[in-house]
Amino acid sequence: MTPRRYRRHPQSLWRYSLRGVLVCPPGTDVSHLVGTPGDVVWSLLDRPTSVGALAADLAAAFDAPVEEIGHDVQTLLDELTAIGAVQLLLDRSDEPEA
Amino acid sequence: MNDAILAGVAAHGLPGPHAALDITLDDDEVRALLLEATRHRLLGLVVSAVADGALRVGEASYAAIAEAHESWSAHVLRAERLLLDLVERLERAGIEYRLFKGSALAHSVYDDPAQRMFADLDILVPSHEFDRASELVVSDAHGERMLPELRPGFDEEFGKETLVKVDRVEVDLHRTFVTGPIGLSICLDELFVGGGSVTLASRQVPILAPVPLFVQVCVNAAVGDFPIRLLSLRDVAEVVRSHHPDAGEIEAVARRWRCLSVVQRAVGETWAQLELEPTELSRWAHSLQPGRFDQFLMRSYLTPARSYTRPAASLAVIPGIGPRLRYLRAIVAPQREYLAARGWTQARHARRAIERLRRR
Repeated sequence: MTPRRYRRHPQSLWRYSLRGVLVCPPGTDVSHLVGTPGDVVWSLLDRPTSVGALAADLAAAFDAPVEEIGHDVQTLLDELTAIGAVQLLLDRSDEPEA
Repeated sequence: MNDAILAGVAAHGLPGPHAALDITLDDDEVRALLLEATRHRLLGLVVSAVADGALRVGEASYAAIAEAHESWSAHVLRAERLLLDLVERLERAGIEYRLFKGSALAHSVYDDPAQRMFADLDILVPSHEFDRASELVVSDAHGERMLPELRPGFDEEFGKETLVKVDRVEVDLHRTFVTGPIGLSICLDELFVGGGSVTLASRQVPILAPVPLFVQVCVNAAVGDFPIRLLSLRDVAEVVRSHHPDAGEIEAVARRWRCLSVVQRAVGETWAQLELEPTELSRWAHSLQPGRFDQFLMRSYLTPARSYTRPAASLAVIPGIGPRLRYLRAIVAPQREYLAARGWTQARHARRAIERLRRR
């Protein structure tokens, strides 16, 4: 089974800050602060990517266990998907889920 | 606040003595820096300097800087969300436009858009579409015009901009770069020839071509704010760094637009205040010899009575008797709605003009 993949919503706006990244999802002018290391996840979401791939990249960057990071990454992606800043893509395509 | 620290922040990362800024600030110094940096719109560059380790601050100051920057950035994102809505409306209505100043520069010439703070949106539209574009922002986007025209028809013929407030964001719809004789000397049709674009939420938004862009940042730096804002000088340096505009092309355009003095002053102030290493362009600007008339036009922006010296100098560049009379009438006797919006009467308007001109 192909792992679920995520990417930034193309209509999201954002600015990096000292403490992370400020994200403004489409359809609103309200911004949300995503704290570090969530800003690193955000920067990696410029192309479709899976939780596993993100966790592996972060584990290497922060020298931490992949399993622990995988759980945190999934929580963050769920939050970003819920506010519409990130899209969950259909299997093997770059189309978002309905 | 030490001016050298502020200039160092404004020049952070550019080639020159400030490239390797290395300063530790206590909490009081950071409070003072934040006040001045906000005034000069430099918060984004303060953040860059802190992130790069060029400015070292304590934990509380670090949080204060981050909060101030995030608060501005939230406003910037709100403005850009509105911008996307407005450009959609302009394009649907078939109105040509160019985004310039804040958001355009943030996304086209700065290393990171977070370095370039801005408070409002600046959109240039052709003169003949000026009223239609203003009406569209007011009626379709539920904006509120902040100040009536001096007299009906003035903005479309002579004005610099109309200011419209949409929700909490100010939208400046421009027909030229600056009020007064320099704004009236710019060949407005040339601003829509060619151009680049910035990508915003996957949308291509048109911006000015490099030479008009360079002249615009020079106009803003030299005569836009009094005293000069350091961020405006940084804009000049960033446009030079990104586009390497050709001196010959700039000179031809600036001469035609009566902006040679302005370009010389902007480049001179940028290199002097940010202490940049001399380049071919800065040496060229230094060697320029603007005519006396161009110098006279620029001086009209730099006096304490500029609200009146600019209109007076404008009469020297407006062609034709009819347009001059219409301009003069609007300046001397603005419509009642305009005066009322400013809390003035006709008598007070006249007294104020005389007082300011006497103080020159």
